[in-house]
Formats: sequence, C-alpha cells, structure tokens
Amino acid sequence: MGCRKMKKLYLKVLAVLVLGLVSACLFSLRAETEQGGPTAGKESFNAGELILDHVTDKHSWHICDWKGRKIELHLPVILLYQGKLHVFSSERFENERHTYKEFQLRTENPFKGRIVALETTPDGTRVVAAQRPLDFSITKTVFGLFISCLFILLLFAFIVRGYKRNGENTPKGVAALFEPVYLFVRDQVVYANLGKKHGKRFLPYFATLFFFIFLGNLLGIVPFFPFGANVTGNISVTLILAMLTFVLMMGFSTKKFWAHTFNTPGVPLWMKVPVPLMPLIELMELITKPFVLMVRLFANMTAGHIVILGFVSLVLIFGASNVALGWAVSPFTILFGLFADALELLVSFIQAYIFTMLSSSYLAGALGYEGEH
Amino acid sequence: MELVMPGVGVLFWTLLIFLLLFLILKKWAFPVINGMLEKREEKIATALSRAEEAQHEIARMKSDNEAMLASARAERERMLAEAVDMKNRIEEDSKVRAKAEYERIVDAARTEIERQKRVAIEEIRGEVAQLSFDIAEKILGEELSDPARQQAFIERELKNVKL
Repeated sequence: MGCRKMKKLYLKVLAVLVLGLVSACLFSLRAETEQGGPTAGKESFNAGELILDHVTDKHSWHICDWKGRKIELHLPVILLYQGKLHVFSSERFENERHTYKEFQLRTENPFKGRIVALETTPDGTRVVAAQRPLDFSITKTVFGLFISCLFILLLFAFIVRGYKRNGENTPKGVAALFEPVYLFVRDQVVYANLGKKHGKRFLPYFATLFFFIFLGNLLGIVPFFPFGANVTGNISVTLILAMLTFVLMMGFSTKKFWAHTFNTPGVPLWMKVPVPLMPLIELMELITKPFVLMVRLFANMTAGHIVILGFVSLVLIFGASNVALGWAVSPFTILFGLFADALELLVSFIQAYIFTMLSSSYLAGALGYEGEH
Repeated sequence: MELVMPGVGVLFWTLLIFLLLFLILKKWAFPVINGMLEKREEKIATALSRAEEAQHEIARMKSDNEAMLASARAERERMLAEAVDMKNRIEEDSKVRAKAEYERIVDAARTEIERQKRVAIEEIRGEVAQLSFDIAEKILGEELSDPARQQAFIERELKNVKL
C-alpha cells in the first residue's frame, strides 16, 4: 500500500517536473526570441545561433526578457594580464565596442566570445594584442558549477542528517531516494570493477564523481535560472574529470600494469622488437582512454541540449513565418520536447554511470586488479 | 570552434570546485553514509544468522521433546508391566499362602479329630470293661450255679448294653 502510494507520488513529481521543464523552456525561448526576433523587425529567428549561444560559455547569464528589457546576471570577470589581476563586472562590456580598459569581449571571429587585450599601434589604431589575458572569470559554466555543487552539498547535508537521525534503520525521505542510487554505484560500479578491498578505498572519489556528473546533467536540463547551464557539456569540465581519472590511474599504476603495457603478454615478439608496435598501441590506448571519456560526456550532454532546443525552436521557426502555423505546430513541438527531455533524464543517468564505470575499470586495470578469485 | 576549445578559467575552477566537493564529501558525508550502511548490513546479517540459529534451536528442542516423550512413554510401559507383574506375583503368592494355611488348618483339624477319636475309643474301652465287670459281678453274684440261667442272664444283660 505504502509502496504504491510512494510510486504514485514519484510519478506525479516526475510528470510535474517534465511538464514544467518543457513549458519553462518554451517560455524562456520565446522571451529570448521576442527580443531578437519580431521586435527587431529585419532580423529573422536563427535557431542555430540561438542554440549555439545557449550551449557555449558566456560571461553573463541571460535569465529572461521582461517588457522588452533583457534581464541578465552580469558575472564577474577575472583576468590575469601582464602579471596583474583585473577583476570587474562583465557589465562593463555593455557598450558599443564591448571594451573596458584595454580588454575587449569579442563578438565576432577571431576569438568570438573570448576576452582579448587591445594594444595601440604606432599609427593610433587599436588591435588585438598578441598576448592573450588569462581568463579566470566566473563564467556561466563556472557559476552553474557553483550552483550544482551547492545543490549537491545541500542534498548530502539532508542525506547525512537523515542517516544520523535514523541510525541504521531503513532510510526515510531524501536518504531513501538517494540510497538505491548510491548502492548501485557502490555495488554495480565500484565494487564490481575494483573489488571490495580497493573499492572501499576509492568509493568516496567515484561516488563524488558520479553524483557530480549525474546532478550536473540533471540540473543542466532544468531550463530556468539558476540551473540550465551546460556544465557537463562543457569541454573544460569534462577534460578535468577525465584528467583526474588519468591522474588516478597513473598515481596508482602498478609494475604489473606497466609490464603489461610495454611487454604485452600473448603477443608475438616481432610486434614488440625491433619496432615497438605493440607498446605504441598500448600507449596510445592509455591516452585515448581519458580522451574518449572527455569527448563522450561533452558530446552527449551538448547534443542533448541541442536536441531539446532544436525541438523547442521548431515552434519559433514556424511561428516566425506564420503565427497560425506556429500554433499548429506547437503540440508536436511540446510532444517532441517532452520526449527529448525524458530521454535526457535517462541520458543524464547513463552518462554519469558510464563515466564512473569506465573510470573505475581503467583504474582497476592500472592497479592490475583482475577480480576476486 | 569555441565549443570544443577548453578555457583555462573553467579548467581551473572545475578542478578547484570538484576537488573541494570531493574533500568535503569525503570528510563529512561518506563516512557517515558508509558507516550506517555497513552497520545496517551487519545488523541484517546478524539478524539472519540469529534467525537461522533460532530455527536450529527450535528443531533441536523439538527433537529433544520427542526423545523425552518417547522415553516417558517407554517408562510408562515399563511401569505398567511391572505393576501387572507385581500384581500377578502377589496374587500367586497369596494363593500359595492361602493354600498352605488351609492345609495347615485341615491338618490340625485332622490330628485333633484323630486325637479325640482315640480319647473316645479309650473312653469306650474303659466303659466296656466297666460294663463287663459289672455284668460279671452280677452273674457271679446271682446265678452262678445254674448254667441255663447264667446264659439267660448274660443275654438279657447284653441286650441292655447300649453301645
């Protein structure tokens, strides 16, 4: 009885979430285009630009438009240039030339979307300096990262409180929702790959990794502020995660692993000497592993965002040519958007699972662990 | 192109934030969660093993009970048999004793009768002798001369004798 009630509740929550997701997505997109679309007159709606604009990193966070005015969060810009640290709001770039002091936020290629330094040539014109400032700005992705981590910390605070209150009894509330996922990560991913002995040691890392990716993915598809930043679909973020896996592999690699890499057993000798074909292949594999981790997560999450936005943009594309057509198409758009969102929910979990799974299996390889006998 | 170019800022912040998150969770969250999970798993395992033990215990007690019941039953049988045996023995015994007593009494009676008979016979014998003497006296006293009379007298006297 209680179980069925719970199930119903979960389904309701899920339905509300998905519906809210789609409608909010539509709403925010409409707001975004109203400013650039019909009011601008000549400019027609460009879905590709909108989508790319959404999935790439930016120095300000466009929340919505209200009565023809852009409402956005101007994030701080932190630059390291010629040994000096410059900190200012990205609002300073809100002028015709997008410049502040000697810095310019480029709006077109080269370096579109990046901040460059300008220098004055002897004949008086300002050109892009050869030396680029190091950009440590709190960009949309970084801000999304903060939000996502705060969310995780809050979640874990609730969970830990729940466990402390409940003792070793059956968990309740958030902890009850969390525990099956955690147990899945522990038993099916970490212990399955590393065994219990190693697994216990590395469980905190892999659990953090899993929940970081999983919640980053989930919050990424929530379309309203302060969520919705394409955090896990940012190549820098996935690069760091993949690099950490690589560092972990190297740090805990054993003699056995290196022996296996440079002198692969079961391979004919002529493949190793005099041309070290097999060691080269193995070394390439070693580099490929984190690279693939990085690209897979990045591509999947970015593609998910693009697909959702693409479906949602359909109504705007049709609406731009004919309002009635836009209305006619909207049910299908909502349906497709719903489908894409539901798919993303699944993909969020699967990608987090795959990343953690592969990371732990790579680490198992580096440790020379071959399963419990 | 911008989409696939890693930026130094995001790299830096991601590394910092992720490591901080990892350290915080490792220090504060996972020990509690893992500890509780392990405790619960242990609890379940001990509860299971205890339940199994209890089951064994129950089975053992059941078999014990059965054994006790069987032995009690045997004891009862034995006691019953013993009682029957004793009863028979007592019966037999009393029969034998009664017979012996009867025989003793009969014997005693018989000897008493014998003795009485002998006493009676002695008595009779004395009386007969006395009578004979009396008769003889009378014969001698009255009619010793006449043999015929003598004979008549004897016969008459003899008729009077009551034996």
